[in-house]
Amino acid sequence: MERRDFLKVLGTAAGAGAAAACSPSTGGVPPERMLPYVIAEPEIVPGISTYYRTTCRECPAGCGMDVRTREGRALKAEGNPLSPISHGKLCARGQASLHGLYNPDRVPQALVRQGTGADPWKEVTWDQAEAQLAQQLAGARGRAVFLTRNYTGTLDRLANDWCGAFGVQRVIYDTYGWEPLRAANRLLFGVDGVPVHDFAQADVVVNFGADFLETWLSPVDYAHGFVQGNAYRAGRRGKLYALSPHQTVTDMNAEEWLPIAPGTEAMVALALARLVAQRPGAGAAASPAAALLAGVDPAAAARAAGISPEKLRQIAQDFGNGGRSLAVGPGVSAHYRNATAIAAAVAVLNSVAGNYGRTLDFARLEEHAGGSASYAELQQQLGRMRAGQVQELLVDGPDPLYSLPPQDDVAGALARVPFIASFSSYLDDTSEHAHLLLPDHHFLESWGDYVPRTGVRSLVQPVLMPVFQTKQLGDVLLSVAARGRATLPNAAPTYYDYLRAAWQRDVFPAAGAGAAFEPWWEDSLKVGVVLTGGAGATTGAGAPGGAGGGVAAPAPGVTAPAPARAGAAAPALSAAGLARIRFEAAQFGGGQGPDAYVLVAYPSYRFYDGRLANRPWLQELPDPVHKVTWESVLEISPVTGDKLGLDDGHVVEVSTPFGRATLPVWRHPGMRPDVVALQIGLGHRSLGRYAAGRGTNVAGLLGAEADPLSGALVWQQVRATVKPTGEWQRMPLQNLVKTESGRVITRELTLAEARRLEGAGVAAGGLALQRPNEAQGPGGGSAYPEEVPVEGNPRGKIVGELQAAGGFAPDTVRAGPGDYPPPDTYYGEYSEAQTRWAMAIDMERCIGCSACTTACYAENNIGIVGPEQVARGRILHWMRIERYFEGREPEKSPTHVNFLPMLCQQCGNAPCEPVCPVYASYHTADGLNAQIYNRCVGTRYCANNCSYKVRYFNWFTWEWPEPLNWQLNPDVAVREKGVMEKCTFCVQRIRDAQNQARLQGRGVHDGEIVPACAQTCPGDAIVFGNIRDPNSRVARVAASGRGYRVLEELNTQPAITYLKRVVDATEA
Amino acid sequence: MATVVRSETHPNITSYEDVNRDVLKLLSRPGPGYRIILSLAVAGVITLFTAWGIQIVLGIGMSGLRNPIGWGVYITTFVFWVGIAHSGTLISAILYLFRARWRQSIYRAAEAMTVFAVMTAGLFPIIHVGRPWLAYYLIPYPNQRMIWPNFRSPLLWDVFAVGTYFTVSATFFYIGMIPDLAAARDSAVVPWRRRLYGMLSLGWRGTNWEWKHFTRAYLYLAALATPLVLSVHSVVSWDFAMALVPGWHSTVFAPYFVAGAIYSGLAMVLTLLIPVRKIFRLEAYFTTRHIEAMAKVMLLTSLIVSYAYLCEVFVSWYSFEPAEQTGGYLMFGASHEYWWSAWLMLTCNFFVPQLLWFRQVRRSIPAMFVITLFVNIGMWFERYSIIVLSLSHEYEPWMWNQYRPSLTGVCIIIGSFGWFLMWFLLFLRLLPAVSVAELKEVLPAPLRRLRPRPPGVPPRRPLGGPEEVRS
Repeated sequence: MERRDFLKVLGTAAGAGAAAACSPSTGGVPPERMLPYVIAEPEIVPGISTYYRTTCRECPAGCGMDVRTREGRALKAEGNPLSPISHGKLCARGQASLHGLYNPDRVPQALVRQGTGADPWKEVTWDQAEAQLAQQLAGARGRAVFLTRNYTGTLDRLANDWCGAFGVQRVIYDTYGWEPLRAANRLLFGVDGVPVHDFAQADVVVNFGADFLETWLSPVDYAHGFVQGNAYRAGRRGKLYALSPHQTVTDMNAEEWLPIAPGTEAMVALALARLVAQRPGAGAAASPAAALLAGVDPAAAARAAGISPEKLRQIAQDFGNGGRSLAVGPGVSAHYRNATAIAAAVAVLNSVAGNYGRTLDFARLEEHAGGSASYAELQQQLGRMRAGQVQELLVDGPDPLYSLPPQDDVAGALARVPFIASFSSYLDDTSEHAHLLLPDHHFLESWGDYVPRTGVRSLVQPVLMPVFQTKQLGDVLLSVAARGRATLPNAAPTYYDYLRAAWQRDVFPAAGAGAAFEPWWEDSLKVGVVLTGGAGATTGAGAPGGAGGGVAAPAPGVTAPAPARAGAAAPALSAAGLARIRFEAAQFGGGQGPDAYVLVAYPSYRFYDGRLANRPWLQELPDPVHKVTWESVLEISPVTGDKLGLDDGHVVEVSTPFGRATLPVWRHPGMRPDVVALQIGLGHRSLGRYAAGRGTNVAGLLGAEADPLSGALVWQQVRATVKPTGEWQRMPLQNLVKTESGRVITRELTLAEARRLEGAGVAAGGLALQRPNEAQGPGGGSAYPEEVPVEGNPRGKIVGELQAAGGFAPDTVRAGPGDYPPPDTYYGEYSEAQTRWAMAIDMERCIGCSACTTACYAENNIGIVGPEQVARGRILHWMRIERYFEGREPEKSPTHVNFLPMLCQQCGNAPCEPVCPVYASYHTADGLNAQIYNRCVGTRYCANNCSYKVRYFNWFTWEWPEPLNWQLNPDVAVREKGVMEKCTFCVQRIRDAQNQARLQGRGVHDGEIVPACAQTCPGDAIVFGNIRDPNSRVARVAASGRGYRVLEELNTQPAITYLKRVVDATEA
Repeated sequence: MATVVRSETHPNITSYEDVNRDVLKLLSRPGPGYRIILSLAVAGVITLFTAWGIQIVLGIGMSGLRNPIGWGVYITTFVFWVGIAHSGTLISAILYLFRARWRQSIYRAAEAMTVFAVMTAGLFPIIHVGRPWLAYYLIPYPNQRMIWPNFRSPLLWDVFAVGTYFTVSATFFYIGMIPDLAAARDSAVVPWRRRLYGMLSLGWRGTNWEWKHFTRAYLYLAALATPLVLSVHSVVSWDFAMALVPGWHSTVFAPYFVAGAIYSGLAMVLTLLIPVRKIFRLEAYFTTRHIEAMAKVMLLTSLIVSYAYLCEVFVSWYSFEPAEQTGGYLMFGASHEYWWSAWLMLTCNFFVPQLLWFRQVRRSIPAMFVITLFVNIGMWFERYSIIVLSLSHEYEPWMWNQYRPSLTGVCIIIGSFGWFLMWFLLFLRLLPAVSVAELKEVLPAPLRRLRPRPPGVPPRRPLGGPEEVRS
């Protein structure tokens, strides 16, 4: 319902109400959705936002989350700055959690299967549904299975107790269970878990196929830490070496990407370990791995991997830096048959480099990564089902029918189970086979807690009334237990009571917070996350921000981040465990020969394992790797493309012994010619209108094969053949080129240059000068003339008079990135004291993850145009991440990748403004290029004239199917067809902060206004503020010698200063 | 019998009465061919408004436009029709001032074409905008909100330029027609026609006093209209030249566009008049001499626009600016996705018209017809190339895109030709398509007498025009 309609209905309803006087009906509209309240809820004030802290449950990482609500509706998700997992940031998946909440395809209430046909579901009350479940459970004692995700926390205990009470076997399964990492740690260190990786402390990272910036373990924390450890700051820069056959976004961030042959990761890691161990003073001779390493031939490993031995030696040289390094892997994209061996080899490498206890710490584990069953164990359960040994299956979360290979015949197994109940919020592939649907609340409607890592307890609290008539899983379990007369320890009437009791009993004492539980509980809900267990609660937050654009996380209110404990007891490698692992290159099934390509399946940043494929924001988000929306593409190398005569969009049939699929190709310059890659996450048969029948499911091309040591599904197991079909299809992506094509959009410099420029404090690139009053640094004065004094200069006098009267006047202005206009230009400006909003974006800190894009969609009511319209170039991403392959031959063999967040530059001399015939596009006094949507006629002249192409046109009126429209931000107009729209630096946030400041009789503080993109950026790449204030952070960052402005030669005078990427971090 | 003295410009017209008869004959009952063509034109108009209606209801996305190509076939066609509109004023006003003696028989049709072309062109900005129901925001009307349009915007200049041009050319068209309307009134037999012409002729009696004022007014209007020939297309060209878009931002655009406008306008006049001449047997009025004269002007303007192409190619190459080059000389490269458009433009506007160097070609009616068709097509694609090529490859490689016109867009373009043709056909049947009065001025004096009336023909009412006074 639109706002106007709402007001109409309200007016009509009020009138009708007055007329009917005694009518008890509210017209079917529940009264709590209507405004104004007769008696308002105390925390709901119309027009005032309320923020609730909760925990993101979109992926297992468990980031702390703040949700902005207004008038009882959740509008925007942001990171909880007090959470050591999220650091106030969220990834695109977390941003899009609201689309899970308001998804129009949620199961609206309890349903029971009745007959077959198009709609076999019959609505039942929760009473009936729970009664049926209890009754079924009573008859299935010992022969029931509860398949769940890894809950951790209180729900985990409840589920276990409940399963015990009913005699149900609980199987915890996550598609990415990280089994090889756990198995290797179990064998080598006797720890069944994955330690927390401290990227912030690592100067050198060597990555073997772990997409730690996207999905691997705890991506937001790792991205945050990685940027702190890796991005240029104060004269030093870290290094990431990525060794993989196919570049993910993580690998695109690498200083150097080495295309190693698929399956040789373990060999290369061991070779590196040997080279590191050989370094003088490495002290690894006593290591139990010494014997193993003695047998490793680095040259042979390099040869097998297809890289030069010198390069390996160079990496080893950098890596053995005394514990300030980190080797990571494998991620899902390196889950070969020898995945455990890779994990073990990486562990050996970390061990000989002395990283345990420094950048890796077994005292802190990724709790969510432990404790789940392996794929092999799930296979056993499927076998039991097929054998008819499972009477009843309860499913919450995992979607095995979607995520497992067809060889497992999940459908056949499900068909043999007489009764299946699903708690899933959506009708996913598995739930389609259920007999009873008991839709769980979305996590934003639920109570709960989560333990993402050791010592971190994160609270989940509802931020709004349930959107549908769903019921929380914990409540259902408690209620069913009561009905089934099962005896649960600590049983409570509701899950909220159960949770509170559990916290009072367990967490409260552990937190050591004082005497009274109630105030502590209230505080905990406000903080959102409780750190227990002292030393375990260190975070990855590193050094505070410096002049180079470093941005410190807001100081946590509960604990100060302690530095990693240097020299903490490093666990010893178990020689026996090591002996059980065979280190050799992985083998691949399927066809052999030059026409068979190893099929690389890698996790999707957007959809994780596919569970998020029904979020329109994520579908519409250009994938960070290939930038294609809504569709699956087969990534092939340009070499393969040339060989087969395939260009982007050509449709091929890819076939393995286990299946085949037809899909378009995309030429990925960053991959080896002997592999093809396909993202995991699409190809659902069900899961609602946005996901069903869209794209290709990788699992359909794989065999049911488990890594023998860890039991993990082997994602990279076969070679596939690729056969062109001769067809071509227009793919839903905006950019047709992958390189800058001769233009200069991104700029870069060497480490030596960066040091020289920043150290000397003089200009870089001609325009980015220091302010005159600051420029007299060690490097000498400004190259530009000093300001012309106002007196004695007729021109200056007129300017002074005009400006004194508050008018706009032509002027020459001093030089400096904060000064507008730049030197030697004659464009006018408002008075000197006026604010000019500006941004500084550090390309060193942008990892290309695109969380900002989704945040922008959420904040600004940007329409979802759908695949057909994206293919026509009508996507509306105000904030987009441009990803350019660089190098001499970037289309074929890129040397590196540059990311550039592109949004409205809020030009001082904006080309868009003078051309609008109706003044819809105009300049605000504080430097914004505003757009008056109501005034816009839609000539599109402004977009034509925009050099940055950041104005987007509404070619049609875009729809938000109910209840997705509940998310719309009431502070931002919803645009109709025929209107040009654009980024305004989140002007609604600017005005809100200004109004707040005025009410409090003060000025706006620096940092008080944070646009949505800057707010969520895991790398803190974006700084916003008033560049006229020399002490503001943006002014200080923009004054960096690395600063430049995109297309500044056009004299558009943009307000965004980009800081050049530093390449070639070799010590000069 | 007096010696027959033949007119220098119209040797086959022997008497004033011929003129009246032949011209006013067009206003009589039309034949089936006319009806068929008119129904085709009306079908085009229906197509136009149906497609436009769909576009308004569903959204401008139906046009096939996309980011970053905000302008496409609609603006192309707008510029095309504005260009077409130039010949009328050129022929009637400038040639009038220069006393070119061959203009009399064609200027009326050319002026009509101007008016209808501007009417067609005027549709397109409204078709083009995203919210046509708000298009009146572009007009500086007084309003309580005190909001004025942005006088810095070239699009607003367009509103003024095209609006002024339409007003002046329509006035010019009408004023020049008054004596002929009186003649039509006097010879009309259908009552409604007599009433219509009676009203339109403003009671013209053909007195000396009236003629004196008429000729003065006509001269002043011609003088007023002449600068507009230069200004309108200059202003239209500034839509592009004032922008920052590589390929648009160019100082050569104003003369380049004006020459192109005259070029395309003359071509369109010929494209229309050659069939009209044939169908209505007006060979005596539109002679080979006229066609040849226009061919020469076309050749000149063809060379001017070709020079402009050369300038663009050179400047884009010389700029050493990748963005300029993509829309400039690189557009002729085989790897460029719009190379066909660029080559079509060059072929139609430069190579083919070089045939006009040959006298035989200039005097061959079929050859001229074919060449003018080429020029019409070429000039449309010239504007298409300028607009679409430049927008497809601007500074930001990430947002490059390719434009493909949609069915809706094509329907509207084709429909606009129907719209134009409909007005033109109605004009042929409703208004005197050749200037009766002025044509008589160029006929030699010995012909200025009425022939004896053949037996059986009823006496006719005195005709409007100079002969009434002088005979």
